[in-house]
Amino acid sequence: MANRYWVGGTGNWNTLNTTNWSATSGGSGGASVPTSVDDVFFDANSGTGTVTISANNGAKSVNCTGFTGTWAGTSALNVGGSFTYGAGMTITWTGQLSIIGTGTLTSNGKSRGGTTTINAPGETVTLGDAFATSSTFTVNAGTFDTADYSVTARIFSSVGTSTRTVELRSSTISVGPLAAQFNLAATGLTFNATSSTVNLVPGSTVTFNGGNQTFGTVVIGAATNTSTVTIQGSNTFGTLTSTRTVAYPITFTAGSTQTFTNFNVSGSAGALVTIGSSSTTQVTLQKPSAWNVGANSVDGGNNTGLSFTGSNPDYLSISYIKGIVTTTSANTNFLSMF
Amino acid sequence: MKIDFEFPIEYGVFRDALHFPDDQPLPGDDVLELLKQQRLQKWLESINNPPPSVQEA
Repeated sequence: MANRYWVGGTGNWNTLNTTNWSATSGGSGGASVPTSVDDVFFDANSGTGTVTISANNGAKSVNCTGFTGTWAGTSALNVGGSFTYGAGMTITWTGQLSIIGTGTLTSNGKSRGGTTTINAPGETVTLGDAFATSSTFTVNAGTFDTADYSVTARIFSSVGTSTRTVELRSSTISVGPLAAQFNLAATGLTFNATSSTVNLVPGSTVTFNGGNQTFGTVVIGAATNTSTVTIQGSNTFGTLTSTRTVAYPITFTAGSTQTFTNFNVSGSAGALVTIGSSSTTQVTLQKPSAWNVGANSVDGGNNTGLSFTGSNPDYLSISYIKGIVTTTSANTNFLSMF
Repeated sequence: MKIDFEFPIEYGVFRDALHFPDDQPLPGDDVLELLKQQRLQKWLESINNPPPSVQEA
């Protein structure tokens, strides 16, 4: 276990080049290339050139505080603990960053393309500030804790079968734009998000696969996007709401059941929101109050349990939906007395 | 030193933090506020107008 400092500005971070590695900050090059047991530093004494990550590398931790050069390249980097971007660095590196052990992921306002993966079985990766990527953020194994900070990714994903925990706390998670995806698989997953907000940013498509989990607030943004919102899995929402002001479709997986405390999705005159199933099999929607889906809504057919009255929600075009009023546990107990 | 901050936005709340070396004085309040606003604007930009997604290695 050793410290390794990048020196000399421009160079390649690969398995062979020792020219740019020193045992001390600003020291002489020629130290061994860091491995998975070494703490790596890029700092104010590293130079301002371009560091090209040109082979798949590993480190125990990486800290770029004070570094004002550029990270480039496409190769992967496995980090066994904390990873800190430098506020003054430039990042064109698009390789995969895998955090494989307990530590803190600190972005210092930097974002990049390239997948970031949490793959730390039995360990915990915690955010040190807001995190943003124009690519994929995925939790494969271990615990990911947002520590209440915001997360932005084109794709937010936790699938597979490994044991993993995604702790969203009260964070705002934004996915998109482009082909936006929020994608969970239930097997092996502990998911805590009842105080969080998931914001589906408009893109060419928006896919929300909730993995049968429970969510706080899910927002279908934004005002003028008309792309289809596909909701997969049988999920529970504190609130599903929309900020769009144009006509667009929401398609639920056929045969699924979606449970809402608040269903705040409405269209407007001339801009109906189309709600339906992915096939000719009904989708069950349940909430605590009657499904009065609006006097200005359109019955597209094959619905049950809906009343086309009221004004909230309203301006919907609905087909293949089965509306159910949920019974609270308190009411259930009350009724059981009789 | 870490300074947490947040801004309410259309979609929820943006929460972030500024990190400063322990051995250096903190910037003044006006600079801190500017840094916070810069983070917010950059975050909004990343949502509303992100760079193209890349082909990954």
